[in-house]
Amino acid sequence: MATLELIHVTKRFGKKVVAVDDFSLRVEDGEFLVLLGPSGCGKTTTLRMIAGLEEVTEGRILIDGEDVTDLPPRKRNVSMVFQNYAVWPHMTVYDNIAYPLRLKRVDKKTIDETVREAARMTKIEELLDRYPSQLSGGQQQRVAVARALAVKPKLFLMDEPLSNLDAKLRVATRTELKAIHEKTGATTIFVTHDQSEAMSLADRIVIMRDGKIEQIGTPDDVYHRSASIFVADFIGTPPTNFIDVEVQVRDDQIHLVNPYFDFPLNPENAAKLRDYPKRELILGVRPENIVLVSEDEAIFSTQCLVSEPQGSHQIIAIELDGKIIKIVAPAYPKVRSGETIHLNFKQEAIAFFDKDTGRRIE
Amino acid sequence: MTAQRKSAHLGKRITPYLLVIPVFIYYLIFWVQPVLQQVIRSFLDPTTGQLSLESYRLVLTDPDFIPALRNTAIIVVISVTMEFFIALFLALIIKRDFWGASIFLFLAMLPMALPPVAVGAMWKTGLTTNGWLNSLLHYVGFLPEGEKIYWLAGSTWKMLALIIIIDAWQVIPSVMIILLAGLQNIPKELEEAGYVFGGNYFTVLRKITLPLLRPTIQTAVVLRLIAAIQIWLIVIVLVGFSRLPVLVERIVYYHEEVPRLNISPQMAAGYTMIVTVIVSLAALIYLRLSGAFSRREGG
Amino acid sequence: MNKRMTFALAAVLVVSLLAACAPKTVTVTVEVPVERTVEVEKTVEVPVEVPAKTLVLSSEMFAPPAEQEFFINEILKPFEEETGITVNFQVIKGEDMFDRVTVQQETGHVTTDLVLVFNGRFSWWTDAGYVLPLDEVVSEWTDRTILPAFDRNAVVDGTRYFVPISADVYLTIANNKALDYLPEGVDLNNLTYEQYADWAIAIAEGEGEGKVCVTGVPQKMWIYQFGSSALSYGLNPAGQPEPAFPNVNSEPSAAAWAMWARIGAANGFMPTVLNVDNCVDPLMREEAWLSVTHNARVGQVYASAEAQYTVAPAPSGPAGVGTIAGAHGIGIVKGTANYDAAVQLLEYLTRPEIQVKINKGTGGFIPVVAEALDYLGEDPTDEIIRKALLVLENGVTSYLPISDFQDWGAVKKVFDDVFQQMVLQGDGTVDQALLDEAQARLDALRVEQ
Repeated sequence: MATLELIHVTKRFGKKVVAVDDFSLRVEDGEFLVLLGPSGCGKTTTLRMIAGLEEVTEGRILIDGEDVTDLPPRKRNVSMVFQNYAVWPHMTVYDNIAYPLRLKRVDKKTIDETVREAARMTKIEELLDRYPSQLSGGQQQRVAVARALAVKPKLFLMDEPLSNLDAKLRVATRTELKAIHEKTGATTIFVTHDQSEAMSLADRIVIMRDGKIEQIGTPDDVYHRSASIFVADFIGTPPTNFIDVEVQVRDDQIHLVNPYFDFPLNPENAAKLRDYPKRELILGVRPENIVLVSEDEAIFSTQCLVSEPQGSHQIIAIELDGKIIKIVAPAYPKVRSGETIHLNFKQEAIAFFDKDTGRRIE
Repeated sequence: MTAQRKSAHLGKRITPYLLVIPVFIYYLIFWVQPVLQQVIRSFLDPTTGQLSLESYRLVLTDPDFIPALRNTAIIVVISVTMEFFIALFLALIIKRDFWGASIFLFLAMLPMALPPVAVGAMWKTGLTTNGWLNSLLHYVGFLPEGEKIYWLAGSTWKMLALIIIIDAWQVIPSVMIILLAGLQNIPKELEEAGYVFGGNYFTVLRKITLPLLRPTIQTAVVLRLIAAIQIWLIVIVLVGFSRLPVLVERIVYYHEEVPRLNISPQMAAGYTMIVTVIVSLAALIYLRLSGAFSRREGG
Repeated sequence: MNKRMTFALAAVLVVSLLAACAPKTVTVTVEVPVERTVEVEKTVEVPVEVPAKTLVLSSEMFAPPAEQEFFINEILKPFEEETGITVNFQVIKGEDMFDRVTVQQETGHVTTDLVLVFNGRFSWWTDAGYVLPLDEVVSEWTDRTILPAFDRNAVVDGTRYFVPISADVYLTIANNKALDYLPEGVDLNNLTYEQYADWAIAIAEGEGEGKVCVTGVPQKMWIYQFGSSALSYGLNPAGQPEPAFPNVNSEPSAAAWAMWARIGAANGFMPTVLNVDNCVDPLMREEAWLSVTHNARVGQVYASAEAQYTVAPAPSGPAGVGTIAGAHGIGIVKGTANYDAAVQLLEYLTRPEIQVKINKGTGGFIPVVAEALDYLGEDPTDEIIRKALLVLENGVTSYLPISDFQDWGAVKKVFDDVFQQMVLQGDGTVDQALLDEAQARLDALRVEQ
C-alpha cells in the first residue's frame, strides 16, 4: 500500500479545453479517497492520469514518493475498476483474474491461490469457469473487483464502478466494497458523481468543479462545513436552502433581514461577519436545521406548500422569496399542506456565503 | 374462440414466410436455377447430352490447369496474408486518431473507388517503360537519368509480384476499413484494462485486441480469400489472356475469348465448378481453422 | 451472431460466383420501330406526314470510340438529314452479332437491318443465308466501280451479298529517330524483311534497348504481322493452294520465323513487347520506333505527329510485298422491314466522296470504290491511303479464312505461343519441331468438313 501525491497537475485537451486545472492533493496510505463532482468536472480525467491512461500536461504524480508521471500504466503498479467493468469477454472469469498475474510472471501455484483468494473475497468462486457473457452485470462487477484485488496494487482506482448497477444492488455492493477496503487496507481512489455514495464510502472527499478542487474534506467537513455554495448545494438530499439576506447592524447586534424575517445573530455567528464588508450575503441552511417551533419562538411563519412523508421523517416545502425551501422535520406531528407553520433556524448550524464569490464566510 | 385464436396464431406464424417469399422466388429463378443448370451442364456431354465427366477430364489434362492452380494459389496465399497484415497495421495506426488521420483515411480509400479495369489501366500506363512510375522515380532521383526499369518485362514471378502488389494497393483499403470498424467496436476500456493490468502495446494487441477482433478478421479474410481466388481482370489487363493463367481467367478465356472452340463450353463449365469447389473449401477450411465452428462463447 | 454473418457472407459469395460463371443467355434486343410522327401546323388544314424510319446497323468495325463518334457524327448524321431516316448504329463483336441475328432469323423477328461485317466472316453469313443478294442494287450504280480485291466470299456463285466499304493492309511505320540506323543504301520504300531485321538489330545495339513493336499480348494482331511477313517469304504461292495462310511450319513460314527470331535473339523487340496489345501507344510514347502494322493504326500515329514519323509500304521478301488484307462489308439482313431505306444507306456509303470521307476520317482505311481515289489529296492520311493502295495492288495478299476454324482466337493463340517461346525466348534459330507441333495444334482447330 502506498501514498499518492498530485502536484499542480493540469490536463489540457488541445489548446482551449482545460479538463483538470492545477490539481494538488496528497492521499495517505490506506486512505479511501473519493473524487466527487458533476459530469465533466475532470474527476475521471484525474483518475485516468493517475492510472497513466491519460498524459499529464503539467505537474507531477508521485506514488510512494516515486515520480510516475512519465511511466506507462503497467509500470505504476495500480489497478482499476472501470465503469463498464471492462472484463475481457474472450477469457473465462479465472483467466480474467489470472491474466494480470501471468503478465507479471507469477508462478502458477501462486496465481491459482491468489485467484481463488480474490474470488472468495468477492464471492464469485462458483463462476470461475464461466465467460463474462454468461454473467449478470453485478457478477461482472465482482469479477472486475476481483481482478483489481488480485494484483495487490499500490493503488486501487475505481471509475464510477457502481453506476451501471441497479439502485438496490448499488447500495449492497457499496457496503461490500467498504468491507473489502477495511480488510485489505488498500489505498483507494474512487470516482463518482453520486454524493451519497461518496459520503458513505470516503475517508475524505475531493469535490471538483470545472477541473478545480472545490473542497477537500471528510464527509462531515463537506456536509457541515461546506466551503462554497456549490458544495453545499451538491452535498446532501435535499440540498442546502439558500436565502438572500441583508446584513444590518442595530442595537450593537448584527441582524439578518429579509422581507419575511429579521433576526439577530448569536455572538459566534456575528463574529464571523465582523469583517464582512458587504451588505448582502447568502444564508445557507440545511433542511434539518430549520426547525418547527411555537409561534413565539419563531422568526417567521408561513404556510406549508407541500409535505412529503418519508416514514422516518417528513419533508416540508415552503415558498420564500419566490424560491422553494425544504425542511426536514420529525415524522410527527404531521404537517398538512396549507397549514401555517412557525419556523426558526438552528443558529449553530447555519452558514454564510459571499454573494459574489460563493465562498463560505468564516 | 380457440379456433379463432389458432387461426390468428397461424397468421402470425406465416407472415414472415409470406414476406420472404418474393425474395425467395427471385433467388430461385435468378440464382439457384442458373447455378444448378451450370452444375448439371458440367456433368453432361454437350453433343450427346449424356452423363459425362469429360468436362473434368478436359480441365484436369489442360496444360494450363496446373499453372493456373499454382498461380492462383500463390496470389491467394501471398496477397491475402500481406493485405491482411498491412491493412491491420494501417487500421491500428488510424485508430490512434493522430492529426490528419481522417485525411489519410480518405486518401487510403481512394483506390476502392476505382473499378479493376481502371486500376489495371492506370498501373499499366504507369508501368510501361516511359510511364509515370519511371518518370516519378527519375524525378525523385531514385533512378539515374537515362536508366529505366522494365516493370512489365520479365518472368512469371515478376508478373505475379506485380499483380499481387497492384491487387493489394486496391483492396487493402477495404480490408482496412472492415478492420478499423471492428477495432472501433471494441470498447476502449478493454484495452485500457490491459494496459493498467500490466500489458504493453504488443501484449495488449496480441492477448486482447486481436482475440476480440477475431469475428471481424474472419469476415475480412474470408471475403478476401474468396475475392483473391477469383482474381482475373487485373491479370488480363496487364498481360492479356493465357500468359499468366489463373483459374477464373481460364473461365473467362473459354467463355469470352475462344467461345467457338468445340471444347470451350466444357472447359468453361469444368473450370467454373472447380473454382466453386475450391472457393467453398477454402472458406470452410479457413472458418474451421479460425475456430468459427467451436461453440465456446455464450452469445 | 458474427459467426453466422460470416457463414452467410461466404455462402452468398459462393452462390454469386456460380451465378456469375453460368453461361450468359443470348440477349435479344428488340428495337421498337419509331412511330411515324405527325406534325400538324396550325395554319395548314392538311396534316403533313414526315417519313421517319429507323434503320439498325450493327457493326464489328469502328469499335474505337473516336472512330465510332466520327462515323456517327460525320457520316451518318448527314445521311439522316438528307433522307429523314434515322440510323441506330451499334458496335458489337462479330461473333455476338452473328448470334444475335441468328436468334432474329429463328424467331422471325428481324430488328437488325444491316450488318457491317469483317470479310473473314462473310461466309458465316452467306452460308447461313442471313443476307440478301445485292446485284440489282449494285447494277444501278453507274458512277462507281467496286474494287474486285475483296469479292472473295462477298460474291458467292456470281451473286453479290456484301458491298465492301473499307479495306486495310499492313504498312511500315518508323519514328524518324530510327532512320539514323537505317543501313547504308537501303531504300525505305523498297525495304526487305531481312533489312528490316538488320535495321531493328542495329537500333537495339545502338540504343541498348529494342524498339520493334508487335502485339505480344495474346490474341491481338501478331498473327497478321507474322502472316504478312510469311506472305513475303512465299506463303500463298500464286496458282497453288498450299501452303496458305494461316500456316506455321511451311518453308516460307519458317523463313519468316527465322527473320523474326533473329530480331528476338538480338533483343530487338521493345522490352515490354509481351504487354503490348496495340502498337499505337508505344509508338506515340516513343517506346517503340519501328513497326509493321495495320494501316489505320499507322494512320493514327502518323496523323498525331506527321513530322516525327515516316511511313512506307510493308517490307518485301523473295515473293514480294506480303500483307494480310482485310475488308469490312455491308450486307442487308434477310427479312428486314426497311429494305428500301437500307438500300438508300448502302448507296450513300459507297458514294466515292463519302468513301474517302469514311476511310480518311477513321484513320486511313482504304476506300474500295475506284473512283474514290480521285478525291485523295495531300494530307498525311491521304499519304497513308496511297501507300496502302500500293501494297494492296502490288502485294501478295491473303484474306482471313476465319470460318475454316472453330475459333479464330484460338488460331491466333498458336502464333502467339510460337512468338513467345521461339522468337522471344529462343536462341535466334528456328526450332522446326516446335513449329510442327504448333501446326498440329492449328490443324486440330480446323472445322471438320
